[in-house]
Amino acid sequence: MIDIKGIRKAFGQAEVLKGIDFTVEKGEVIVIIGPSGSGKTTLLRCINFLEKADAGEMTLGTTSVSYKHASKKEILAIRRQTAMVFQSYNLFHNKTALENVMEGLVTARKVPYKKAMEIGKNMLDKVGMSDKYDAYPCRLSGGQQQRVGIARALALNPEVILFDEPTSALDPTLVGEVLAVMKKIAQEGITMIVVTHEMSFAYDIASRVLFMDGGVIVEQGTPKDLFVNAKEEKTRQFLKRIVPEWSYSI
Amino acid sequence: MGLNFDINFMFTAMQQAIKYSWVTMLLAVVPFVSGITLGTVIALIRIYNVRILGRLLQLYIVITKGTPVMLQILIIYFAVIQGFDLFAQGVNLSIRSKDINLIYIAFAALAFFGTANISESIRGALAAVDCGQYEAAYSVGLTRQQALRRIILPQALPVALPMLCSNLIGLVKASSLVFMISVTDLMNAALIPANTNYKYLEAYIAAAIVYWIINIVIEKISFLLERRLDARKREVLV
Repeated sequence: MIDIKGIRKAFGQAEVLKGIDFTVEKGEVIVIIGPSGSGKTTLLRCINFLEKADAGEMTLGTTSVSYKHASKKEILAIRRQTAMVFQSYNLFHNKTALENVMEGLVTARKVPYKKAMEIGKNMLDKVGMSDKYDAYPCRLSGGQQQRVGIARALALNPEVILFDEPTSALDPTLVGEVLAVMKKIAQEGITMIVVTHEMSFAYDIASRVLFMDGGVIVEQGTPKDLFVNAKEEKTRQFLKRIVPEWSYSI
Repeated sequence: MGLNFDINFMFTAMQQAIKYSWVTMLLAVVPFVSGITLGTVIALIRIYNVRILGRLLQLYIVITKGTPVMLQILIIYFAVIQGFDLFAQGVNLSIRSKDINLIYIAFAALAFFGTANISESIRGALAAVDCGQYEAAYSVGLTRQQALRRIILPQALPVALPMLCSNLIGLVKASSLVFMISVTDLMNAALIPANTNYKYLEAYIAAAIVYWIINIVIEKISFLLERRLDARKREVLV
């Protein structure tokens, strides 16, 4: 369903993505792991054009674009088939939880207000925020804000939801509630691409794990392939370093 | 001899000042409104880094900020007067620069000054909105215009409000300089009765009091607006 070929991206002299190819099937949960600066987040941001890649092509559903010549219309078309959950939540500060979830529906997709409200409430119920419809983001805890962020992404019913380190900014005690919501929606068959450092979470829900280092995909496979029988030395080194200190069970 | 302060004359001058205070308010409000419109456009052009235009506007702002308002008013006055006569002669118009109501030149000069300052206030407020807000707006499928209208400007407005309030007060005060091009405003009106009896101190104090009252009212209105605009603050403060 998503087919990405040859993405390259450089910030000035620093080449962050050095030609990435990968495909995602409908309903797959892809988890991208790797050390800081390996290009995970940049890759994710290239998928919905928050970052414009220098070269490469992408097919998403029925839309095909080349990064170099993407028009505004194509970018908008891609963005309207994707949704994103941010590391720093990025809820709209001037809107309540419910308005946050409704914004994309009402303004971008022209869903009638009443219908949007119904969807919005459903989604907030799903992430366990039924009692906070009218709360502004500044009155919510980090975990609550991130759950609203997930509801905002879900409401758009996108082809794929991109998660950019959704729990990295959270207090360790709040990580669990967000991961639980993500696990729940993964089980519903929603296509997800997740950048995370939560290894046990990745092991639990991923259909496929991608290990990135230095702007390339070093290795990919099922969680078992990667976490237990990694072929590449780099992968083993990374996992050895990171697994003990980053395991939360949910 | 001691200080000879004629309080009754001060009230006479104040009456004159109040009578003409609408001219002062007009001189502040018209450039203010046009400044908000143009200033927002300028701020957006500079925020989005439009290449040549952005540079030109930056030059305009640097020049305006770096020269006294009085000079700006005088330069625009003489440029318009001389330019207009040349133009009128060229196309055989019967009207000359002396037929132009000088208040229009005052509007133009104050708008020139006000727009630069107002655009800086708005640019500052726009810059205060976290870029994650733009990204989130784009990620839910909003276009650039929709993101600005629905997400960015509503968040920038409460930030800009106190600065816009001081811009408006700045315009009220700057408008007193239009006496240089003989427009009768609040200050000029207060001074006219003093021309016969030389009681200038009374006249100036009368004008000062009226200016002060106008600006207090502006500040009060801005404060109330600020409370109303910022929904989050309202929720926390009650």
